[in-house]
Amino acid sequence: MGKKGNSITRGEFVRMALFSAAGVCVGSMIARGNLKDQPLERIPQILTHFDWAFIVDTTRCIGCGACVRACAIENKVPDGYYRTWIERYEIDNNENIYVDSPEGGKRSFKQNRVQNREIVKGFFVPKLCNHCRNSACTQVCPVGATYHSPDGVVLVDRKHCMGCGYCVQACPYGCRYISYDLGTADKCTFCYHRIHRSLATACVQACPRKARVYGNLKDPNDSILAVLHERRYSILKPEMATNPKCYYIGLDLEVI
Amino acid sequence: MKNYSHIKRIFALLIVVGIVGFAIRQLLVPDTFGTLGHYRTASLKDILNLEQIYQSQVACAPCHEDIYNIHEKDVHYSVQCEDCHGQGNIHIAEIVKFLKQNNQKATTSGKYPKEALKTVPTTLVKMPKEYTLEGCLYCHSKLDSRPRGFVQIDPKEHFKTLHVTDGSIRCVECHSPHEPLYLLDPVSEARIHPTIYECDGCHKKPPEKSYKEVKNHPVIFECEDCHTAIVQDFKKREHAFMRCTQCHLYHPENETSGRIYKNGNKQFCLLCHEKKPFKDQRKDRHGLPQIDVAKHLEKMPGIMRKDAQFIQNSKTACLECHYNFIHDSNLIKTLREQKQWAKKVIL
Repeated sequence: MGKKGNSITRGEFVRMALFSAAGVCVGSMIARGNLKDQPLERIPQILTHFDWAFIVDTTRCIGCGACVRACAIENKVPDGYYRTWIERYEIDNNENIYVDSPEGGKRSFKQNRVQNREIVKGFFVPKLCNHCRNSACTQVCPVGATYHSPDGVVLVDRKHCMGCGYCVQACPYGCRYISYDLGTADKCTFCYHRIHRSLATACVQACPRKARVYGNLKDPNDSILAVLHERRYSILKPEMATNPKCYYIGLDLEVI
Repeated sequence: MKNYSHIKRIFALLIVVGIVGFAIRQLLVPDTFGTLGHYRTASLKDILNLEQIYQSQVACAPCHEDIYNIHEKDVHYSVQCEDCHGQGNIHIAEIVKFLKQNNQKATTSGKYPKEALKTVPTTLVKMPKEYTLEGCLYCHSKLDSRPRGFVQIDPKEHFKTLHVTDGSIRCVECHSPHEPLYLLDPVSEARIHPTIYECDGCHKKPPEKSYKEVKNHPVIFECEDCHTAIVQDFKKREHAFMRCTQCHLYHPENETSGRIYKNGNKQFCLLCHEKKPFKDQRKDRHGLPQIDVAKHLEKMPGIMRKDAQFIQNSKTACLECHYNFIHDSNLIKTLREQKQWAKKVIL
C-alpha cells in the first residue's frame, strides 16, 4: 500500500479517527465551559445537564464575613443589602437565645453580643437564597420576571421586572430585596455567570474554612454528592414545603 | 326578510377587538417569552454574560509569583488575596490594557510571557493593603460562637504574654501577612496525625471500673499519653509553661483526622523573642529574653561568626544552638533512630 492519490494506510486512518473523536470530545467540553459564547437556541439543551445545589457546613463557619464581602464585590450589592449574610446564635445557661447579624456579618463580629452571661452554646449560620424547587417567589410574580432556569436556579430577569416587591414579601427566608440602583428585585443567583464558566461562586471561593460547597447534583462525580452522602444535613423551614436546594450541615433546632 | 345588520356589526366589532388585542399582545409580550416557561429565555443569556469581578489567587499568581509561593504553603492558603487587597478586576484590566498598548502579544491561552509582565510599572493601579489589627481579627477575635478548635486571640491577653506595652500596634509588626506562622514545611506536606479513633486503639483490657457516663471517661488523649518521654523531659525545661500545640500546631481537617504543622523556624522563635520598641524593655523584669538579631550574631565566637551567613539564611537557625531550651537533643536523636515517637498506651 503506497500513498498514491487519496488512499491512506490503515494506521493513518485509525489515528485520524482517534484524533477527530478526541477533538469532538474536547471541543464539546470547551463549548460547555464557555456557555456565554453559545447561541441562545442551544443553551436550554445544554442546561439540562446541570442541577445546581449548595451546602453550608455550619460546624466549620467562623463568622469572618469573607463570603459577604466577596459577594458584595462580585454582584455589586449595595450597602445595607445582602445576598448572603451570617447570623450568630448565642444560647446562655438560662436557655435564652440571642440572634444577631450586624451589617450582615460583613465586618465580622467584634465581641460577644451578650456580656456578663455564660454562653453555653454558640455558632454561626451563613444564609443565602435556598433556590427552592417549589419556590414561593416565582409563583407570585405577576409578570413572569422571576423563574426557575432549566438547571434549577431561581433567577430574576432585570429587564422585565417592574419592582412591585411581591416576591420580596413572599420569600419565607428573606433572601430578596429591591435594589435601588436597578429598581428591580435582586437576589443570589449562585453566581450563575461564574459557575457556567467553571469558576466557583464568589462566596465559595472566598471562604477560608471551606464551609461552603456548591455543585451539580446531576454529575455523579461531583464532590457535593460525596459530602451529602457522608454528612447528616438538614434544610431551613421544611414546614414551608418549599423544597430548598441549599443543605445545611449541623443545623441547630434554634435556627429559623 | 329579517335584518341581520346588527349581528354583522357585533361580529365586525369582535374581529376588530380581536385583531387589536392580538396586536397589543404582540407589542407587550417580549421576544422569546414563553419558549421554555413563563419567562423570557433571552434573560438567561443576559445573566450568563455578566462580568466576572472577583478574581482568584490564580489570577494574581503569574505576576506576584514570589508572594503566591509563600502564601500557598502557609496555613492561610485559603484566604484569598482580594480579601485583604480589595477587588482585582480593574487592576488586571488596566495591566492588560497597558500590555496591549505596548504591543505585547499574549500566548494562545490568553496569558502573557514573564518578560512582558516585568515591563509593567509597579505604580500602575495600586491595590490597597488592609493589614489592620481589625482585618486579622475578622477571623481571629475571641468569640463564644466560634468553633472551639479554631485559633482565637484576645489582643489584651496576647500582648500581656508577649510583654507588649503599646496596645495599638498592628499584627504585621511581628507576623508577616503572607505567612504569619513561618511553618518549617509547606502545609500540603504536613504530617497527618494518627488520631485515635477506635476504642481498641488504647483499651486492650476491660476497664477496671465501670464508666457508665461518657463524660466521666478518663481523658487519655493528651500528648503525654503517647509521647511520654518527650513530654516529661520538656516539663523540666525553660519553656515548660507552653503547650505542645503552640509549636506543633494541630489543625483538625474533619471529625476524625488532622494535620500537625511543625514550627521551629528562626522567625517563629523571634515572634516572641525579637527586641521591638513596643515591648517592655525593663531588664529587671524576669521573663521574656529579647534578642537583637544583628548584635546577637556579632557577639558570637570567632568560629561561628564565619558561619554568620549560614545562620542568617538557615531556617532553623535558633535551634542550631539553642535546641536544648526546648527538647533534650540526645533523647530526640535516640527516638529518631529507633523510630519510636510514641509508645503504645494500654490501659
